[in-house]
Amino acid sequence: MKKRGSRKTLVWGLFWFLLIILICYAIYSFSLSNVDTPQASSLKAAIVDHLSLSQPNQTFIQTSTNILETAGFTVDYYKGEEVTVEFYRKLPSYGYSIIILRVHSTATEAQGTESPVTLFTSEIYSKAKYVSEQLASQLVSVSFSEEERERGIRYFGITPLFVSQAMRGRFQNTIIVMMGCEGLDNPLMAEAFVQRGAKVYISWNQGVLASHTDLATTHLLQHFLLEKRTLIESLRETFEEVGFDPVYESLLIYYPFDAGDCTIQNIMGDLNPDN
Amino acid sequence: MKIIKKRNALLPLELVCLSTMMLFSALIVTQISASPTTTVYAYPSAKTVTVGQTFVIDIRVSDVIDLYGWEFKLGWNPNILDVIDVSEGSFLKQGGSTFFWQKTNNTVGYILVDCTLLGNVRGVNGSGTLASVTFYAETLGSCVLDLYDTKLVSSFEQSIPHTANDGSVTVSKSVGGVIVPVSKFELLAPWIGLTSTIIFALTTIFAFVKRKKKRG
Repeated sequence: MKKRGSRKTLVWGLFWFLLIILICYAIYSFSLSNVDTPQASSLKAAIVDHLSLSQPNQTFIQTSTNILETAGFTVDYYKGEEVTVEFYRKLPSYGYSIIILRVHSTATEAQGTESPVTLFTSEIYSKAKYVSEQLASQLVSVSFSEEERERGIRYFGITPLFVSQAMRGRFQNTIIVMMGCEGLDNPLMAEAFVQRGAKVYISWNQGVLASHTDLATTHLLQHFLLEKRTLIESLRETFEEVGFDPVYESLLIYYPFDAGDCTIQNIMGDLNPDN
Repeated sequence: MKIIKKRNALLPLELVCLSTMMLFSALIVTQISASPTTTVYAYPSAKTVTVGQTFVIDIRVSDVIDLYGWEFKLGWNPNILDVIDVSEGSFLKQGGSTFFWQKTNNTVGYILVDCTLLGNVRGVNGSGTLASVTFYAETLGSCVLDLYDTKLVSSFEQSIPHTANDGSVTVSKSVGGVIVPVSKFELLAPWIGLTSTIIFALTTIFAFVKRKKKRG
């Protein structure tokens, strides 16, 4: 009888112990995903140069840094190796007003079917890593090309679900310039960024060449940040100057559509805590 | 005395005539020097392509008079591009039968091309394509399409003065990629295996202990 009672106590004890661990884990996960870290008072911009690994362009980095600094931003530069899953996870919490994502991206599956836009990381893919995120379709496996896929060279890619569910913190009316391919082939990634607090998401409607996206982004920054045109005017000017991508015939567009009239002054007004 | 007076009266008129003539001749000279000069050029002058792409650059001539034969060399960076074909353009054929010849050196990176009309015919006037060069973009990079040693000859075997304009090619790469699907079962397989092994081990231990107890 005594033996049976002690076994019952042991089972209950184990149950409560597991329950407490489960609750603690849930609270921890929830707090990590929703915490709003304090924002810096100065205006900060980030250049996330994932392409530095495959298509480096120091001229673009120098020119865009100069434009951003002239417009009053402090610029942080992240080279390709730093663009990991954890980097993307923490990105909203860094308090950037402008984020230039010079990254590989795709909305095409290996069989040619369309899928949500995915941003590349430089982290080598493994089935054993980030299993819960992979099961939740927040992270997927990506390759630069079919040839690399056949050679087994794969990286982790982040999907819109990662942005909406697994990122920590919130963007503060941030302008996202996503320079990769097909960033606005469908609006899922843009919607995810806007849901997480981004003011506007600018990207290409189809594929784009590295040289063309660098050229167009430089023109866009010039018009939007230095000439202080509205977003739609800046994009129109940029298009008149650089035209469609010479190979993919794509052009820069933005989301949401009501952000076309905003200027950098509007956005800086919203961002600057003194105003 | 009268004659002298008359001469003096005519002097302003002569001056006016002289200055008018000078003005006209100046205008004529200006018009001649401003007339369009003959140009041999690469078209399009700047081309952006992607790695693995095949593309065509035309070598064209503009505003030529009495063109009977032509020759040019075109140089490029052989690490970036390869020439896979050179064909004659339609311009000189307008004058009659032609003889077209070309030599390609993809190791050094140049082509030598020439073409001439055959027989006692007049040269061709106007603008058009002399030759079309098909390239293959091997790797990333930019290079000049250097148009040099260009020669244009008239039906009187006279060299036609002209200018030559180079082109340029940028070989870029898309910033895209592909998503490689992974089945959820593949992800769970190691965990399912591990769990199965643990359950099997525990069951075995439990059965072993139970049997031992029964025997005891």
